[in-house]
Amino acid sequence: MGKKKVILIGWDAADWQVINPLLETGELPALQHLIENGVSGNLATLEPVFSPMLWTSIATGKLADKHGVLGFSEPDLQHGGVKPVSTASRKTAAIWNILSSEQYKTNVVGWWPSHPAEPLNGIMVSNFYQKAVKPIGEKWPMPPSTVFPQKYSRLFAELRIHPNELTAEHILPFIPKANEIDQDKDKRLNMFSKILSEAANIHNAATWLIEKTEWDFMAVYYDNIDHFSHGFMKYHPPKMKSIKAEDFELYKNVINSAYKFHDMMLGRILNLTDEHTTVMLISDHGFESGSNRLPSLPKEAAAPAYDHRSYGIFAAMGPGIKKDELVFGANLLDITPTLLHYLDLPLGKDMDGKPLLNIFSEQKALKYIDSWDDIVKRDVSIVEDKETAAEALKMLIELGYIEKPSEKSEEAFEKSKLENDFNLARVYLSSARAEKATEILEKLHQKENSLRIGLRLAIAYETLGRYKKSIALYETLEKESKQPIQQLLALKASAYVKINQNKKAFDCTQPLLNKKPHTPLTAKRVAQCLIDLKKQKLAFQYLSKALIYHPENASLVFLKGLTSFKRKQYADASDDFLDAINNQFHHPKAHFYLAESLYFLKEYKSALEAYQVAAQQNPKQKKALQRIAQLETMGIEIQNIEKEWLDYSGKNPREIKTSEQAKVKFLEGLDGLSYIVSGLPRSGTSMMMQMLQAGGAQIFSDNKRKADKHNPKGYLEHEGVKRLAKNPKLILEAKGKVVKVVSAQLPYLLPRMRYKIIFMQRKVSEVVSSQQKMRENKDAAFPIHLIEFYEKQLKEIETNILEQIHVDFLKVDYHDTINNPKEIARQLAAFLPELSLNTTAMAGVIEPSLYRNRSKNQIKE
Amino acid sequence: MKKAQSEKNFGWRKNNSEQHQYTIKEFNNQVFLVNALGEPFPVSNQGSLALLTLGEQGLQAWRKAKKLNPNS
Repeated sequence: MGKKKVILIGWDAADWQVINPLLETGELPALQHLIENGVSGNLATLEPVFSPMLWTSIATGKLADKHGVLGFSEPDLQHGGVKPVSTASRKTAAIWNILSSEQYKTNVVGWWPSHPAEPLNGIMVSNFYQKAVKPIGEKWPMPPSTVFPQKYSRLFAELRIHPNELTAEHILPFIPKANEIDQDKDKRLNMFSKILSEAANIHNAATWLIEKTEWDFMAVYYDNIDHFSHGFMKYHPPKMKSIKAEDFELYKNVINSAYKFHDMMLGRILNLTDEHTTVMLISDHGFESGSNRLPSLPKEAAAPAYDHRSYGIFAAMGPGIKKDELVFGANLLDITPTLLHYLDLPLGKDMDGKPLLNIFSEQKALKYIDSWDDIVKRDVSIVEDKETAAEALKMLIELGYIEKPSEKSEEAFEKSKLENDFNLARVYLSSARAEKATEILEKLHQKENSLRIGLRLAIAYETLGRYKKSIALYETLEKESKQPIQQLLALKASAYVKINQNKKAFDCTQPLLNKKPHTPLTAKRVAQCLIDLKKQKLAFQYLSKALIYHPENASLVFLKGLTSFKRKQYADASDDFLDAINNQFHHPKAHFYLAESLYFLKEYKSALEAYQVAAQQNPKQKKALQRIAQLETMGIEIQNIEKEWLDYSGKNPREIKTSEQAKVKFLEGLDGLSYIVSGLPRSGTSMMMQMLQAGGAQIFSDNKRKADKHNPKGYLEHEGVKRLAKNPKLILEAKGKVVKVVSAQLPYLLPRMRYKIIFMQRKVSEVVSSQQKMRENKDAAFPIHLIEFYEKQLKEIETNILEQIHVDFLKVDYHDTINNPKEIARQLAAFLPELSLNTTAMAGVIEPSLYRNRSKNQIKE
Repeated sequence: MKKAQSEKNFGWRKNNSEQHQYTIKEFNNQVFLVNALGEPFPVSNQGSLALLTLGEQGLQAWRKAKKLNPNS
């Protein structure tokens, strides 16, 4: 079988909230096809929501502190001043470097940032390719190093369309009354044409590469939905109050048309690729629409990013990918690990993302290496062109992503450094590294006494539990701003709640209660504060008002439901939780509280369904697991809700860290602890059972199998364990006890219990000999196939059972137990401290005469 | 410039041909994209959104049509 073929398509800022109504009216047939024949879901973004940082995280699987792209621009260490981020800013391997080094034919088009184009086992067209920087008629050379290999430069230059080449045929579908626009006064048509031609340029390059080259992997990035949205989302229906009626009429179709245009381009790509190609479509963040649009943006660097929504899109179809299913919990850091896993390549342990295992119809073992950076040799001798950098910088200024740098080179350098440090602090703050964030923010706060830095510093203090310091800073910021700032008051209120100064907390909320909340986040903070202060009715009233302005905000609807729930108005509460779920299906808390409301309304079956979804979306919700168990005892069937935990065998350090934090909570939610003695039959499991019994452990046995010459002291087994596959609940009866479960039965242990497994190890050939002897069949041919079978079984247990989050294990060697029972008894006592085992009694079980002679004889055999 | 009529006239239609490989042909001073079934699609020198979304092939056809009829 040949290599798998994958095309990764990026639509910057594409958002399900705009897409869904268009899907319902059948206006996005290509995307519809992708969704119906594959998986789709939200893709959570990262903080700060700045596209070059995000697309680099997508391409590397790493957070910005590791990949090094810390904003739109960066200090120019060589020439002084400031320059746009470039290929050279990235200090780690991207997916295309990794795949190239693995001999995959790899093409990349337009990825941000990817200029200058870097050497690949394929063709790279950089993100400076599509921009038209000269008026029509003038020569329009491509910047140097736009294309690798350079021999293709001329060809790709010819595939570009200048905005002024576009005709009415291209423009009218977006702006039907374009002929009424006075272009001398209204520059929006100009901006529109520029964005449209840039989209076409990327598409021309991509389609040429798809058709004319042999490739295994392609990554194509379209930035146009983001640019269309920044320019025209304010004219998208429903009409905003601040928008003039005539402007609304002129530009109201642009956003929907932009999505339809992208869908047609997607359709072309789907036509050009076959069913053996995997297509993955993603966006780095969403874009606020409807009532969540801001009437104006704050005056600060990269302010347009305030329009970015926290969830982008994810859709994928291809061989081995599930069909017509939703994906939950995906993060844009997960894209590269998912692609590597799909392509049977190891993941870097230094990656921050995880593979999205649930998108695949079949599971396979994960492979890891320490870092792809140890393997991939990047050509870092990339020459950057100063003139091109200056043009790109101009474009970023026009888009509002960076402020116009100071004429003084040194000043511009320092300002750019400050922005990047600030962004790095935001990365730390959003990835549970508040201490590192504080270190940077304290220094920055000295340099720039601004609200944006002060606010993050106060939040960092609050995260570290330094509430008094955070409150003091909020107050200083409030005084300096000379006007009440909703966000500050809301934050201060929640800090006061944390230190039980409820009166002060409540006072902070007072000025906000009758005002329109500036942002849904502020409303959420105020409402949560009132809920914490047990003022449920007031919170309900506040949220009812806030929802007039932000009716689609799932968090606010959820909190409103919570205020009803806490007042035991379960019917009202369940209505709100359902609304919240309709707005945002991936909302484990809403599913859980919906389940709780239904439980108290005695609608147990519906409650169980909701608990199951809550547990699927967040397997660490211990209360959901407890309730499911409770409903199960009432006779209601459950599904295997812990699948995600069973699938999980991550060795990625970040995952382990996360799981360690979650593990405690998860384990608390389980049904209890059982002690399992396991191993292949005749590996010493009965001997171990006898030791533990002698040590004082309670044994789960029905004593049906009596002692015999092979096990003179008895087997200490339970007959029912042999039927564990049919009746897994039997294990619930063994809570707190030691039970013998041979290796073949281990996969049937109920996942909602915690287990400590003592796994007996003995050479497989010895085990088989012993089994033959026991069956008095020693003259038969030695069963090689059985050895292979056992070895495979042991390998599977090693990777699939012992690695599970709810399993602790101790491996005990059969011969060590016979030769050094005191040491093994000590190890057992240390592994099971809660059983207070008597080590002397345990060691005393081993009778050298009994075991040693048998052991020797068997070895001879 | 004609005023808006219906969306269909503006190229908001999916390329309904499953035969997505086109060749560019000239006939009687007019450029056509011809699919694998031999079906011809006339290419206007004004271009269209559908041509843009065809990518490189659409661009080549449009450029050829403009060259053939620069002033029409």
